[in-house]
Amino acid sequence: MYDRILVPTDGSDVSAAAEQAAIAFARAHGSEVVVLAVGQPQPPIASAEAAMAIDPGIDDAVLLATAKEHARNVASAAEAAGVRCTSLAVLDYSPADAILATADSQGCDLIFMASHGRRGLSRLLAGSVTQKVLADAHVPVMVMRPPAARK
Amino acid sequence: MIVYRRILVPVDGTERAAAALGAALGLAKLGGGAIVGVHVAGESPLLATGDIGGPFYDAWRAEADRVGREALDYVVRRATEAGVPCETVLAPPCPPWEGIIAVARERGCDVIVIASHGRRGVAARLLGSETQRVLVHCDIPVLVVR
Repeated sequence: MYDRILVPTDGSDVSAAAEQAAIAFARAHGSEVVVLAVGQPQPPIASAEAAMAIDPGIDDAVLLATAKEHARNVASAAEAAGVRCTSLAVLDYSPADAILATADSQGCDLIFMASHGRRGLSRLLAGSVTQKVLADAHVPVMVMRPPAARK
Repeated sequence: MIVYRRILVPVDGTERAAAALGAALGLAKLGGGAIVGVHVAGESPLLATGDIGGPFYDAWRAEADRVGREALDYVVRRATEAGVPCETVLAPPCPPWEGIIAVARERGCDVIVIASHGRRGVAARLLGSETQRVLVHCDIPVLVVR
């Protein structure tokens, strides 16, 4: 039970708290961790303004490199804690779909994630990615609340 | 290291709650923890109170408590079978998410295990509304089970 835990990361502070909890949980129960970072490509916008202002951040290669770095950071924290770890980075327009697909393809039996990530507006709204994962996941999802909520 | 030792599991007598209970027992066994079963009746659907509403309220409350006790008896049975220590709480009527969070706090629980889909609502793919509220209002981790 809970042998392989999927830990999605977006490199934010909120997701960092969930990552630490996941690593601690995996360590306590001898589980393996699969870290996933998803780069979200920006759909091309056909307008003169968009063509004028090219943001290097929207380049796919840059996005993927950033995602890889986020995944590697978590993976090295896991390895430092003595937890076996696989680190993955993908590009997907829908991070939730990427998380769900990876949970299936990697045979994960638990997903550990924050109630919202980088794009969360408020702690009173669960993030849209988390919402979608919760609604469609085939395996249990451990939702970590933002650390600010703890006393 | 994180080991969840006091695991709150809300039950309402449905199969979905039974799935959450199974996951809660699994988690308890994994870390040598105990479970706290809770049933929250929800708010009375009656508008009339006092002399007029009294008997209706009493009847509603008696039925709600009966359903709650049955659901909690089931928790005790399953926990005993699994060899997991267990306590149960029949919470007074209030919105379920409020009751769940209040009991989690009172009983010092460190995680809540809850089904992803509630009883209400037609869309099978939507997250249950009570689950949703528990998620955004509580301070401790929530294990959402399909």
